[in-house]
Amino acid sequence: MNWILLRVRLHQAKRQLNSLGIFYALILLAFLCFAIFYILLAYREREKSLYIFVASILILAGIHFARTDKKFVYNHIARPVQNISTEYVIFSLPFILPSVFTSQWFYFPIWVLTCFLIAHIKAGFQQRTRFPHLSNFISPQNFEWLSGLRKNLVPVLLLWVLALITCRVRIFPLIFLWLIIVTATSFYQQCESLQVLFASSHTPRQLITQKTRHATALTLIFFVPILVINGIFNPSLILVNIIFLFVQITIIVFAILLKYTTYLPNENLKGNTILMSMVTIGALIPFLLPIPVVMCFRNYGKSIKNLKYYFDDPSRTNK
Amino acid sequence: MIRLEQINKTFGANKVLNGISFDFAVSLTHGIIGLNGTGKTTFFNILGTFLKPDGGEIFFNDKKISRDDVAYLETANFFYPNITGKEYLEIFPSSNRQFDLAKINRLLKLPLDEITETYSTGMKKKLALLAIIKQDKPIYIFDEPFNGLDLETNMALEIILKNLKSKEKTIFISSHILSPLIHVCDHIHLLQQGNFSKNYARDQFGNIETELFADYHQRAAEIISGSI
Repeated sequence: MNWILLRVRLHQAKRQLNSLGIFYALILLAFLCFAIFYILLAYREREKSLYIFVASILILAGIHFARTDKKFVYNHIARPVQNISTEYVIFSLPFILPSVFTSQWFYFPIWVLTCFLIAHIKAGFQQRTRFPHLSNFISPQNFEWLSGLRKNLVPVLLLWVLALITCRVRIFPLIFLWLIIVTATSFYQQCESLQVLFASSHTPRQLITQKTRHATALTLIFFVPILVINGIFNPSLILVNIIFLFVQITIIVFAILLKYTTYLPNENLKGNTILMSMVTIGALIPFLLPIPVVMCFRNYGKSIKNLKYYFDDPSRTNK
Repeated sequence: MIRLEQINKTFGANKVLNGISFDFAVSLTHGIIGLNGTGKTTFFNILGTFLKPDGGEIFFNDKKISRDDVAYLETANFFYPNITGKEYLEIFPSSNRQFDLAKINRLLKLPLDEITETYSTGMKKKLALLAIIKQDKPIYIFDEPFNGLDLETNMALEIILKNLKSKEKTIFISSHILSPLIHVCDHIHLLQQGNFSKNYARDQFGNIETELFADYHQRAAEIISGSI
């Protein structure tokens, strides 16, 4: 058995870690340790361990169906099933191995078997055009939302409806709206081409202002009706709702600024996921609420500076 | 006139453009040829203001060239995921008032309501081409536009290029195959060792192949017959 796929993945992981820098690498390590510790505790409880195990299988299936290198691996790498299943088992070890030290030890062999079975599935998600008329509601200039909603419209609408249904309950709708914002921040992971970057704006400031305005408008459209109804049912929460709305807008603005701070034409900025997750999770903890605002101030200048490199036009002085 | 003054560009230790000073006449079609890695795309990126030269300047009608002057079709085209062809085109400003998408698409036959992930290489090239000709600019750059196109669209592209020329646009075009350039260009310029080493007017096009490849052809024939 050759370990080529595993070796490639280790190189990729090493490269990602290097690009993170020591500070964020340590934070990631802390997150991982916390997750492993939590999973170890959860495996001691029968019901919780079942939820975790089922969720893990769904995540693995999702990863396997969505991966874009399947055709290459099956066609060009010797023993593709063994390579893929080994890859899954090795990378999931920190999360599944704790089960061996509990009474739910049997999940481990079932997991290995599941990895092996899933690795046999050659099919992936078929590319097809969903919601072709979405651009009647969202301008193509706001392509991040158009693209993101085309991919995630069903879960986003489901979350919105759940928020609406639970409007009478005090905090529930806020949790569902927060999950919508978490989804929306992922819309800003993919960078556009230079052609598209230059299509609507002449300067970095103009671009950032335009993107911020579009995102704020859409966030308000999604959030205000729910928060108003929630405020009617729970008048004591009106101030909390206003602060919540402000924080959510700040998070989406930060997602835009982070994208353009690290902008590289045509690239998918997967490395930003960790920082973005920390900011979105931070917004749930009251004493960490100022973090998104601080991060926005920190990244505004950085994003302008990064964009100036690309916007540089010999005939114009960029502002 | 498009005037290049001492354009330099180096990547690491590799000097790609070596102090190019050259004048291109406007309202004509200029073909750029050269072997792989001679700097054609770098030259286009600088002319299209997508890349800053290390030194030197480009003037268009005695003013510094601006991004607003140039429409640029790159060799490799990237499309934002989950966006339909029609939506992609709507991102670009429609400054060409004559541009009629429905009409031109009768010729190009693109499934504009489908997301671009479902497009073939040639279809993607056609879509990028539409985004370029939707814009009314005085200068058009086409880097390897014939790559991946079917025979019909090759012909359509030649007609599009001739049409742009009839509107007195200045066109720059590169290709690895000489024949389409011979059909559409007024001048062909050879980029070699970081500079335009040879320039051919239309009446000299017949000499290009013999001048550039006569020696190579004989040498390659000998090597191939002895090694395959």
